[in-house]
Parts: sequence; C-alpha cells; structure tokens
Amino acid sequence: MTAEPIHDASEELYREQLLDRYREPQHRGRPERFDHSHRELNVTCGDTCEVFVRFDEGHVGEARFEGRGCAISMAAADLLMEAMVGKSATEISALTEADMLKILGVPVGPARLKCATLALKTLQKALLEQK
Amino acid sequence: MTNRPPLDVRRLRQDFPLLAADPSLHYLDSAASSQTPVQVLEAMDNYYRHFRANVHRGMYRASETASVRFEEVRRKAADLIGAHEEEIVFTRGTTESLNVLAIALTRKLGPGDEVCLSALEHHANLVPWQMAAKVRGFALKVLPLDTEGRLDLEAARTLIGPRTKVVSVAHVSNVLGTIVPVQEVAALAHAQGALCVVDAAQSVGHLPIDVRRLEIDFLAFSGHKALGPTGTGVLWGRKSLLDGLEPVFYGGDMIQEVFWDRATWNETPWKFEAGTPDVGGIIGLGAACDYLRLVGVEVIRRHELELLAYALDKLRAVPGVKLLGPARAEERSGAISFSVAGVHPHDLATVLDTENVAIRAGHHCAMPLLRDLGLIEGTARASLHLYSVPEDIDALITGIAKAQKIFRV
Repeated sequence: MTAEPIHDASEELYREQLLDRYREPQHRGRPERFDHSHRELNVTCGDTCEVFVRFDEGHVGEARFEGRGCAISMAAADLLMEAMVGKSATEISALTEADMLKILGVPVGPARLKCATLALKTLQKALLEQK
Repeated sequence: MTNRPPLDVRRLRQDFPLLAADPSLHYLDSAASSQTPVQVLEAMDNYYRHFRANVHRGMYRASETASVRFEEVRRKAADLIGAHEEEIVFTRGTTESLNVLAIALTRKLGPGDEVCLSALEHHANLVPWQMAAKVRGFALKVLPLDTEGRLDLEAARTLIGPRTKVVSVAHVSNVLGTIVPVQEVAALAHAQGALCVVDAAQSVGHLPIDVRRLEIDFLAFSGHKALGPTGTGVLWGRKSLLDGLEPVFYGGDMIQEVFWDRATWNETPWKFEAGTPDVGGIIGLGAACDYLRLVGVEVIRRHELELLAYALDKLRAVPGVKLLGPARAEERSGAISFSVAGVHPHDLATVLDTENVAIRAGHHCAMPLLRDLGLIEGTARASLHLYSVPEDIDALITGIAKAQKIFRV
C-alpha cells in the first residue's frame, strides 16, 4: 500500500462540480427542435454521445446531448453544450482539444482524453450533418 | 510434479523489473499483457549484442548462432503445450495466428457449410471468421452460454452438426474467466468431421496444456501474455493438417523454388513464416517458455486458483459489486470481471490508478458478449498471473471503496 496523502489526482479529477454535472446534467435530453445532430461511439469503451444543435440566426440557440458513459465524458458533454450557446458554426469548428479541457476545468490524463473529447468530436461532426 | 512446493512469489517478483522497481504497484492487468522477467530481457539482449544477424541464410557464425537459437524455440514452445517442434509456427500473436487459420481453413468452404464459435469470443476469434464467411458464403453459428457464463455443452451438441467444418473456441474467456472444456468441444467437432481450433491466449502459462490429450487440431497463443515479449506468438497445428494447408503470407523464407510465373512452398512450419521473423522476440519467447516450465504451470495454476478464490470472496463481500462469470473458482482462470453500482468502469479504473492499482476497464475486445450480458458500457477487469499476491487484491478492494466514496454510492 502507498502512504499517499489524502489530496491526490482522483480528487482533483473528480471535483464536486464535475460530479454534480454527471449526476444531474442540465443539458441532457433530446429536444423537439434542432437543426443538426450526430451520434458518436467511443470505440475504446463503448460510450456513446449524441448531440442536437439548434441555430438562431447563425448562432447556437440551444445545444443538448444524450448518451451513456463515464463521469468524464458525460460531464464534458453537459459543460460543452452550455458553453456553445451563442457560438457560430465557424467558432465551433475551430475548437480544439485544449479548448475542451479548458471548459472541463479538471486535469485529464492521456488515458481519459478520448472520454473528455467525445462530446466535442460529436458536436463538430453534427455541424457537418443536417437534421 | 504435483508435489512441487508452492511458489515463492516474493522472490520470484524480483525477476520482474516493473514489480521489483515499484513494490507498491498492484499490477492486475496480466490478461491484457503479462510482465516480463529479466531472463527474457537478457535472452533478447544477448541476441542483439552477440549474434545479431538474420536467420536461415547467413554462411557465417553470427547467423548460424541466431538460426540455432531461433529454431530451438520451437522445441521450447512445443514442450509447453505438449506438441512436436515441427508443428510450431511463429506469428506476431494470437490475433495473427487466428487470422491465418480463418483464411487457410475456409478456402474450400462455401454456402451450406458452417463454422461454430462460442459466445465468449474475443474479436480476434470472431471478426476473421466473419470476414471469411462474407467471402466464402458459409454461415457462422454461435454456441451459447448458461447463466453463469459457461459454455452450454447441450446446446453445443445440437448446434455442431454435419454442416460444421470448423469449431473455434476460446480456452479461457478474457472477460468472464470461464474455462471452456475444449476437450469435449473437440470431441463434438470430430464426431461431425469438423476441425477444432483453440484460442489459448488466456490459458497458456496459466493452465497446464497438452494438445494431444485435449485432442484439438489447432491452437493459438501470444508471447506477451505468457511472460514473453510483445509481437510474438505461436500457431500450433497437427503436422498432417498444417502440411495440407496453403500458406497465407508470401515472400522470403516461405518458398522452396520461385519462377516468374509460379512458386513452390517450403516445408511446414516455415511455409507459414514469410519474411524475416522477429528473431530477438522469438528468442525471448523461448526464454519465457523456459521460465514457465521451470516454475511449473501446475504450480502457477495452484497459486492462481488460491488467489482467485481469495479475490472472489473479497469482492463478493463489497456492497454494490457484481461479479461476472462462474461462481466456483475451479471453473475459472485469471480474469475477474465485475461492475460497481453507480461507478462507470472507466471512472473506477482512474480512481484505482491513483492507488497504484492497474486494472482494465471497457469491453475487453468482446463487444458481442458484453452486449449479450447487457453490459455494453463495459466492465472492470482484474486479472492475475504467477507474480500476483493477496496484497494486490486488498489494494483493489480499498480502491473500490475509495471510488464509492468519491461517487457517493
């Protein structure tokens, strides 16, 4: 057994704010109206994410998601959907993995990068597809 | 043999650099890849430092030494599984071995023919047959499991029929740990005139194997799960059957004579080994076979069985933990899959990593099985090898409690 101090990486990764989002997402559920949607599978674990985006005059009016997955991927999806309101398609397409990690706000190691970026990948593909 | 003393695991752990360097590491992912003892590293190092040359063609000492050391691994691998050395084909691993078989054994199959697999199969023993079925037009049948994840032999008896040409099954499930009674499966196959292929990726080095006693026809295993280096593997087949098969890869070393418009093949096993093999890796694989034989696979099995029973008991006692696979340790080997209510397997693995406990989370390359079990989000899997100790299990239990605390379940 390691005699590590209580403060460790998992406590940083699984901050309360992130766990709250995972337990009680605010942007989850398929909306009635949307212009773009896409469903993506994380091949390494079978997690799924589906996003629905509605544009109002060139900017995101609402973005929601559906899916099944770990705390990281689901919290990332919820936070991303929130952050997208008001953004243009061009702005969304330009988002990088680093931007996604900034939105997530917790340190993510390489093993969990795919979980953290699943929603972004799904969202960017959704913009290429009409409803 | 059965009177050999139990393993001196503490001493033996010193042979494994990663475990010796970090005594706090609880490596519970041997079903994905085992650790490698220094004896294997030294054998490979010796090749690269002292007789680094190609095999089978050089007329000088380094090449001769390399060829001799490379070729003698066939006997070492054969001894581990009760085979003859001329029946050992070197590959890159179980996956390549199974791909070769799925191509070579189905060339003459067509509509009306059937190949049977078990519901436990790893993608490597499913997708190659699926692809061959698409090309040749034969049908794939899946032999079902009972409620504990054991092969349903009664169902197998009715599904394996006169149309069946090949039955290919895992010896040990990499997800459920189930030991499949391959001897019975082979008997069912042979009764219908079909061949029996065994994916032994999870059993070689864990369970004593004697291919003659099991009366199977082909067997595939990987070096890297059996203390050897990555990128090495074995395809074993009965000599008469290998002789009757056409090669799958073509190029150097596998030919006898080449003309502009045709070629003839080298003898078994070399006709299946096109191109320069992983000489250093195969020499390392030989050292791994020696190591396993020296320790004794029966002794390893006894050690793992004891630890498996300990782990199953401990895990059963944790609220919220659901164990998969057969309840009795005797019916299982190495891998222990489980789920923790309210904690996704990936999150669990991440929390365990902060406790220096290495497990695998996900679908374990067996998506159809997990879908059948209603567990498409995956499972957590802890797996053992000869160097595993009870402290590894204790750390796993502590880590699960920590994850449950973080996720408030």
